Amino acid sequence: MSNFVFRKFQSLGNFSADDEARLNASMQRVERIRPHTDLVQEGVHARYLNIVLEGWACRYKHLEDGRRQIIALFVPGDMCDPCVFTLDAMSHIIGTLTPVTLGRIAEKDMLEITRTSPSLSKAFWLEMLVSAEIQREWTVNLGRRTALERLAHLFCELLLRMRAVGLTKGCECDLPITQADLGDVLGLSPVHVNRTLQEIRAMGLVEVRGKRLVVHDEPALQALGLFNPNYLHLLPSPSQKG
Amino acid sequence: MSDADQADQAGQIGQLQADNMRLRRLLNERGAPSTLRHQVRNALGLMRAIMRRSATGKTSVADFVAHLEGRFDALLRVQTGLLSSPDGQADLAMIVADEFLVQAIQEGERATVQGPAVRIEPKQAELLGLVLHELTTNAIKFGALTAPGGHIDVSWTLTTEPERSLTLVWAETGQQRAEPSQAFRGFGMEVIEGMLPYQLKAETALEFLTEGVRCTIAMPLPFPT
Repeated sequence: MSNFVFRKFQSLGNFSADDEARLNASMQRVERIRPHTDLVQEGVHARYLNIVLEGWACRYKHLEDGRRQIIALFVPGDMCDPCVFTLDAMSHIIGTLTPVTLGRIAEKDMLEITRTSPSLSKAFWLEMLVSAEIQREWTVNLGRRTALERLAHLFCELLLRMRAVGLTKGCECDLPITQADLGDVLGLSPVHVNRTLQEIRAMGLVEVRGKRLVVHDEPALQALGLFNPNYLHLLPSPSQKG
Repeated sequence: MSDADQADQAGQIGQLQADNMRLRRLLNERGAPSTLRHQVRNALGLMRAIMRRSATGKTSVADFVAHLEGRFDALLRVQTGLLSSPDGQADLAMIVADEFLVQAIQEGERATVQGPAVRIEPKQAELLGLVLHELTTNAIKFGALTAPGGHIDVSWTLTTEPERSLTLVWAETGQQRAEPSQAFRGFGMEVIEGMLPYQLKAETALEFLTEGVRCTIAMPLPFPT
């Protein structure tokens, strides 16, 4: 199961079987954490690097009056900040959206890996840089795209990220989050999310069936979302078999 | 006005002209379906009208550019939606909600949008998009949204007798003092009282009540195909 992390790494660069073994050896599994559980609290010094092995999690912030913005989504293979120990205290919360299985790397092991393995260090760097790239793209999404473009863009991104770790079937993948979660990701009211979903379906581009995302026309969806995949820095991927 | 400001405005005007040219290229693209050409020509005509009519009144060049950009943005949003729309029409609720989104008005908090699903023709979508932009801008600058508890309710109904028609009501509440702005008096009112009746055969009513602006627009719709 930890190989989602490794697939993620391999979608970004070339890594060896030794790297994979080393990563697996230092990772401790935490099974089946319940949905809507906070993994890392605001104001607390993080002791572990969390890696999502199964399920979806997110990074979010609350405003005082309860409004919530989801700042990042974590799908299997994603790390929640490789350098998190450097900070005194977290300024945001990391929480699960679905049941989640985590891989945890303790602070001392992480420091050991970065000291002794240049290739894994590089992998952590890549992971961090790509997550910063995604963050930039999300800023553009929230600041400038229309509702339909935001949704289209997010769906394009999620499909590619899921494909990179081998979790797509053709143009389908899991989408185990609610419309309310989508609203918190996209900065849209629940009713606007709902009608935007209807609109995008009526255009024949995408359907959300149960907890599955089904993309009917990926190039047209990318055009609609003004989507350019360059910011994900994915290698031309062998895991694109689907 | 400083040199830097002038250069900045020249840049912005250049940008708008480039947008205009992009639309022209789009128009000339070989094989573009005639409906698309028609639509782009309409949009260019409308942009020209917006540009001319925005220039009236005694505003600075900076104000002129700012107003123009807001109006062109509203129009281009509708256009972009229409270009990717499979039936060449637009969903009314999306137009209203996108205008609120762009102006950072939270639906559910300061505004409600309510009405049956209805798709409207390009010409209607463009002009309604423009009207909604003017009303929203006015509400933010001078209308209900200047008051702490101010609120906008946009709702519409469809009727089929004697003909198929749409009636949209923009209702602001929570304002103490209702006073139309100069900008609104100029361009916004011209769209509501001039362009809508003339181009869409709409009947419009614009009232400045003590609680805020109220605007009613009733217009015929073609029967859905």
